[in-house]
Amino acid sequence: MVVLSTHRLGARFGSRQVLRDVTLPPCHSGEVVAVIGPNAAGKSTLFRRLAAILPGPGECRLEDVRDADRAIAYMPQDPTASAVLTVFESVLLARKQVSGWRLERSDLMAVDQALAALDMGDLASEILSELSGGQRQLVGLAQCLVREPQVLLLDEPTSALDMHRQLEAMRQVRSLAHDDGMLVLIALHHLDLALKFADKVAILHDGTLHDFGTAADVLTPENLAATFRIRARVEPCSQGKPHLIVDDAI
Amino acid sequence: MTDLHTEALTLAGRDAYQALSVRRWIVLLVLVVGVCVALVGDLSTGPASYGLRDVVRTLALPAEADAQMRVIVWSIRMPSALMGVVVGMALAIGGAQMQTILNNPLASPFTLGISAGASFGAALALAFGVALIPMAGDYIVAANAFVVAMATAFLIHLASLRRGASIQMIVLLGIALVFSFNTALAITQYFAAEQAVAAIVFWTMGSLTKATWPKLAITALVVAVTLPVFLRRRWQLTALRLGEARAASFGIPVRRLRLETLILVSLLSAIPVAFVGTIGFIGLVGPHIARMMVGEDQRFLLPASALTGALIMSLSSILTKIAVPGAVLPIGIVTSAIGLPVFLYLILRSGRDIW
Repeated sequence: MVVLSTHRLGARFGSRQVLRDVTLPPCHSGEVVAVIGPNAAGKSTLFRRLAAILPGPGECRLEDVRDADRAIAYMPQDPTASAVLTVFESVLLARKQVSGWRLERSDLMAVDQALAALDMGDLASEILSELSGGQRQLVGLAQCLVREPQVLLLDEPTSALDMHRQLEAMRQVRSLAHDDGMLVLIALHHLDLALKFADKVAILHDGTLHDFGTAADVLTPENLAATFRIRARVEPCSQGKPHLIVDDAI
Repeated sequence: MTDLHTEALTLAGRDAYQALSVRRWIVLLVLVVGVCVALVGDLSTGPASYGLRDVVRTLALPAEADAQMRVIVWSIRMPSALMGVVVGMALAIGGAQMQTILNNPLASPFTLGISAGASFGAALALAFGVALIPMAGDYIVAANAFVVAMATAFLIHLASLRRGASIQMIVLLGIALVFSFNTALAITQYFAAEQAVAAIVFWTMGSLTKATWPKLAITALVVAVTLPVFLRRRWQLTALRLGEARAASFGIPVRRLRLETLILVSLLSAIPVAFVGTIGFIGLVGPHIARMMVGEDQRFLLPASALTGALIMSLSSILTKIAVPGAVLPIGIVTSAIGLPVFLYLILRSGRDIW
């Protein structure tokens, strides 16, 4: 079972400290951990530190992984790519970064499986630059899955999706954690999705970890007021399920 | 049952990809044949008129051909014809990789000022005998051209290292460099003697008649050394086209890859320009045509670019000899003259985005 935790993780851009002493409690495989916070809270920076793309102080501990080099797959927020590559090729490309430079049959199989897992097999021969923003985000997700990681870092993977696809994608993400045993850290803008799908929630604010725990424990009116500057509460609906009700900005 | 079902569902992507690969191999094969045919055509044209059959016989059985024929085909036409092929390959590979690492369709040795820098370096030697590398001897013009071209590439690299340097900024810098070198060239020409001006003008037009076996060997060596390095890194280089953030998320050391590629690309652009002068548009048009035919996967894009560049150069070389009876035009003029319309035609004809 993979366990990820951090100890006083930090990062700076020039003289600006964008991440400060973030100590994440242990996160276990099989969990969906939502990372939320207002704009510029340091969500993307945290992910880049976890993916070891950005240098900085502190340490990220990863226990019980099969292969440390390919344990983590990170999906950055998508800048629009305009390459003349098919969906199949671009997913294959992600696979080939970790699987030796000769093209094997197993690589092609893995790509087909990743596309099938996201129900996008019929897009395989489409050209990347002709896809919609939401379809490109799914390609990004497939590029992560094809590397057969144990930890998924997804930076706002649902921001360009419509409501139906958001829910579909989140259900798939949850199934990757609950059924396939991955540890998924996912940055989310929509607090409703965090409430509905996350096992744990981490709130970042001003580059620090403001709170960490179950959605019910963390999404309190006080926390939301202090970090998001909104007056909001979580209350059960007529069916008894918790929902976020936003009253106003502060 | 589920497995069978999934297998049937997922077969489509793999099959389509393999069919695509086969089609790309066929394109490469056609290009190889095209280059060979164009090369023979290039060898058969020239001021001394020999029939195609005689030339082919001289190529196949040099011992049986008559002495004059053998000298003309093997010692005069062969170096410049092969130089055309190798220079076309070098410029097109260089252009393809510049477009890749700068993520810009307009990047090429020509548009980034590397060719213009080479021209200025050459002009310094031709006009004033200034040698930027001491003891260059017969190679003083080529050496100067090489030094300034490499310096230009290095300058572009330095700019790209600056914090917050965007790719647009680098391309604009390249355009500024082109204008700067053109101005410097104009000043050099203004102060140079009349004879030297003629030599500079001829040099900047680019000509394969300057080719010799040693120059050919050096250029071929550069291609032979760089191409395998690029092919070895094909998956990383292709991934660069997905954007810097995505490539970095795959664990690719983007900056180092860019730097190392730029150094090799500088060699690929500077060496041919130093030996045969400015040859425009091959580095820009070759990779674009190749991309339209085989896509961006570097396993196919690199060889296709090289072969397309070689093909355009060979065909241009033939044109230089038959366009104006009794004269051999500088090839730089011809590549620009045919490269540009072909490029425009391809852009306007294809409904699909090419970048």
